[in-house]
Amino acid sequence: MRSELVNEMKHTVLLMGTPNVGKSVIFNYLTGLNVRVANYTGTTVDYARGMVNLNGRIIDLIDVPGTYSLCATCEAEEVAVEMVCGRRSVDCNYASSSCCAPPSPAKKIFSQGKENLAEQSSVTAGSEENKPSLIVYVLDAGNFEGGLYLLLQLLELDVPLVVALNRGDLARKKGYLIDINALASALQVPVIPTIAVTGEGLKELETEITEALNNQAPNKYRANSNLKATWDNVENLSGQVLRRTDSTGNTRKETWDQRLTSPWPGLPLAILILAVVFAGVVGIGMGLRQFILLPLFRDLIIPPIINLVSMLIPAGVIQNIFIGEYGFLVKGLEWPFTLVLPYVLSFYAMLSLLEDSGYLPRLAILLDGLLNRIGLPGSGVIPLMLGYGCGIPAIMATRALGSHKQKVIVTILVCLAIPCISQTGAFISLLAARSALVMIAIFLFGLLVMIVAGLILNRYLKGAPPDLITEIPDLLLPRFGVALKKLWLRLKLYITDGALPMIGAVGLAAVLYESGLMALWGRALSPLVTGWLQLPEAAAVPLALGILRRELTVLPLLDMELTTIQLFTGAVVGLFYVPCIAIVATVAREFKLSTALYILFLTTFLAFLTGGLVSRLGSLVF
Amino acid sequence: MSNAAGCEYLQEAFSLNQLSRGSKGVIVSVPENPLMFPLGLRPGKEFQCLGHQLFGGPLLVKVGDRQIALSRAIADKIKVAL
Repeated sequence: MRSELVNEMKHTVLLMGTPNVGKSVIFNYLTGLNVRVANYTGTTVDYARGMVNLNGRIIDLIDVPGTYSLCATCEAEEVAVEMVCGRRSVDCNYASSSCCAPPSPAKKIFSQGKENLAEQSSVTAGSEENKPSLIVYVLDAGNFEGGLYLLLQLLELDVPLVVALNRGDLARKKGYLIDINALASALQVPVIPTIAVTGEGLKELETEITEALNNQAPNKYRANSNLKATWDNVENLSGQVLRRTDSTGNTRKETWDQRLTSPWPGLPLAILILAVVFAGVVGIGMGLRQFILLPLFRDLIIPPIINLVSMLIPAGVIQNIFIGEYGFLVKGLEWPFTLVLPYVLSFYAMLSLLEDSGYLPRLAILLDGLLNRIGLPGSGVIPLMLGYGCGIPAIMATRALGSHKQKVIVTILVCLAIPCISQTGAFISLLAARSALVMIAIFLFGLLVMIVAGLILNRYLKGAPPDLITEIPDLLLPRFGVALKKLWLRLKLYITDGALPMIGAVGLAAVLYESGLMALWGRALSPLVTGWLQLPEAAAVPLALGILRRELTVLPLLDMELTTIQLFTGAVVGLFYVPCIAIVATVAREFKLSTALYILFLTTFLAFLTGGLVSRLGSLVF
Repeated sequence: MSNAAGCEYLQEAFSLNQLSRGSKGVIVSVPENPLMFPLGLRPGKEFQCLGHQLFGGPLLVKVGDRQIALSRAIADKIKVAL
């Protein structure tokens, strides 16, 4: 109808579907971008967009967070509803017999008639041009009914739609056969079978998208199905197109699944699995450092740099800034690449196994009862776990949680007591050489503070107790290729967002140190550092650098001759201290600036309070 | 379909939370919650109880071939017949 407009407009294509069906995998394939993928619901918490050149036509592809219906239950789902309906959330009419079928709100918004203007005035303006040109609906073949409802809801909108019937391989294993032609003709939309993780069918999907956008007679691609979005229709339709064959289902997998999700032996297995993960992170990391990265940098890369700089620049302050005490071509390379990088690699390798196997949601339900005591649902374990990598994705992931209270609790715990992987690398270097026990003690101490803080926060923050309803995804064997790709992305991200800022911060430190400003700072903080924390005056240095990056609260302590108590004190202060400047900015963006400042104050105050107490108690005991 | 069929069971309905591991039944009614129906928890559906977690943790049920975890408070409001 408005084809002349359509041809000139930049096309917006929405990639939609229920949670955990593989939308982000398809998005990554089509755009060549790399958004986070994992085997659990709620991985995508905000929309991601990417420009795609499909046979010469530029489209704006949007990866929409998964939602079960046009009726949002958390912030991430609200994003999805807003994308397609043009406003934040729809009023769900729970009184109606079919649960929360919204009275086709989007239809009103997108209809061309002016009669709805009064009703929807605040949202109608502008939403016509925001209207997507096409929805690519990803339907999970292995969980057919669950996805049909949202599909029928979307078909009620005035938007062309193409269905990607994904995960057919899993469906076949479960004994499902879907009559694709019957589905396509019942819904009057094209249906393309795909297996996103292997790339099967995605070329065909691309072709179908192009064709749908090119189509001059848009009727074929119009959502002109007469099926109303009701669960009766979903069940009838599913009865028509779904055939059951004998499941080739793997009973051994089911047995293991039951073991993992029953308290016995699930809980002991969980402790075992987490211990193996921890040992893997530390062990693989130490190996990478000892045998590959340390020899590479210390013997091959740094000596020629030192030679070159000492030839070019005469000895003095300037030379020291490059290759002196905090010389940023020495420490600035050693720290990020030999102390932190090994653990970044080992942590994300282990995390990707946990993520892709679908184990994390199982851990979440095992721990749900315990996490409830600190005000969190079991699924809170996912952002907490991500926090051991980096606090920023952890805080973003809180959007998949159900309430503001839960978001705040996770955010405070991540900022306060969860060391990011860079800081963990620093802890291992600082403490493991002295005593593995001290290193484990610092992590357990962090855990203890987390529990206490959680209990207090749960008591004093207002909000309803968590109510869990969640689907446990299939247990899958992680794909090596997917894991390797994720690791490669992490490596690239670490170089740009981790190592480079770290080199910069070390450079700044070198300037402050060589110019004598650091000594002034040390003297100014002396009452606190030497008086209260009983550390040498030089330990004021990490307190300055730690504002920039979390691992820098720890790394400068490496070269100081500290007693075990002092090491532990320094580590405790470092752990609770300012959660790096990038996290403070993230908190300010996700919440309010005042929340970020409050967290900043709280963590710093607690760092010095506990640090001093630990130091005093320690000297009493030993 | 489902609601009418559900009424016949109503007298002997239990709450899902009362069931123990391994018991099978049919859902009679569910509370108003936007996630119930999409997750397959609809009146008339058969399910199998996979047991409670410790520490007041959730109940695990199998509906169709999907596994759903539900907090006990919610499971209390789901009426079922054996």
